[in-house]
Amino acid sequence: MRLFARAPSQVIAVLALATILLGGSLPALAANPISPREASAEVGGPFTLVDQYGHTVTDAQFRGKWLLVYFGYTHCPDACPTALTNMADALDQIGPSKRQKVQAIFITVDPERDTSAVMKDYVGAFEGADIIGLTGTPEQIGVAEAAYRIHARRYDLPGGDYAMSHAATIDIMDPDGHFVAMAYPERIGERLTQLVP
Amino acid sequence: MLRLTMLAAAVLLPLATMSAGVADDGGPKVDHAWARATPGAARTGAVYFRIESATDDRLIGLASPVAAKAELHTHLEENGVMQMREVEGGLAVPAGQEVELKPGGLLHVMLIDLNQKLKAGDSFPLTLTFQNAGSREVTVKVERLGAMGPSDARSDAMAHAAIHHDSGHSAEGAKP
Repeated sequence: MRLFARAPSQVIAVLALATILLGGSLPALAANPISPREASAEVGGPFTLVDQYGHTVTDAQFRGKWLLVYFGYTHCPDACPTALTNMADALDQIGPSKRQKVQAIFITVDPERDTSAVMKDYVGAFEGADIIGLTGTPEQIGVAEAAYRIHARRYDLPGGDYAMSHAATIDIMDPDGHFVAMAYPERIGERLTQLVP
Repeated sequence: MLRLTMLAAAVLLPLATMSAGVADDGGPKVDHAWARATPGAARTGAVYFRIESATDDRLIGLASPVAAKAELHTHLEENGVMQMREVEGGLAVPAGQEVELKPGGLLHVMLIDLNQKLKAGDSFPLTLTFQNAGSREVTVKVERLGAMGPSDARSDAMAHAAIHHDSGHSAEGAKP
């Protein structure tokens, strides 16, 4: 376990070097150092979920678009609104020709509280980003989490409320639905600029 | 937890910038206090601010009438997921260095068990207790959910924090 050290490049460089020295691979990691999740497993796969309008959607419906996939929850006070703002800003900054090729989706890890109606208000707050908010039954969410290798768990807060662990990074999937890269939210614009033609 | 606190301090220190402005009494000055609007039925919120002090001090307590608890939180990441954790032992405020809590950073104040929805445009008090200087109350402005900083400091956030072109920085200081 380590602190979620954002930004300082020397820290990231040290981590990348340590990974290489320890026999971990990975050009992908060295080029854009992030979670070991990227190197260890295939990310992505089929899911059937419900969007913020109550319509059933599957992963197949997103073919043809670059997808930004982020797993979080609406009761998340700091990291999730920051990540969604980072995505919205990135989409605003990459220019119209790249922008039209990209769709951002926000999948809740807290389906108990995040109904379609809650998700509609939430993604609507990030104006202009057209983020699709996906929820579903706990089983449907579990399938999506497993496909994307997210192991979110619930933990208690004082006073009877609870919080969830959630994704540290945003997954980038290509128009064929294949995983391409993951990026910390504050670097998502930079990665999109590099990856999307 | 002590180790966590020290790590947080170690990462924060290089981010702090030297600043000429100090509070009149030399103690900690808190400004740019803001929070994000809370969505739906959320009962947690996040507050951010900047502190600078001419003398070494330590932020050891937080309280607000809008929430049952206010805690200093950091993030821990493990296997691709992250979760929040209270920073115990407080936050060091080294003399002459600005300490800033902001979105995407390591630290935020977590409001727990909110007794009201935080709406953009509203404001509420937050009391910070320092080891040496005692308590300071600041007014926290509520910004929209997608905000990355206080709206009155947007142009400042675009420039570097070290450029003190705006006298409003020192005008908004905390009062004891």
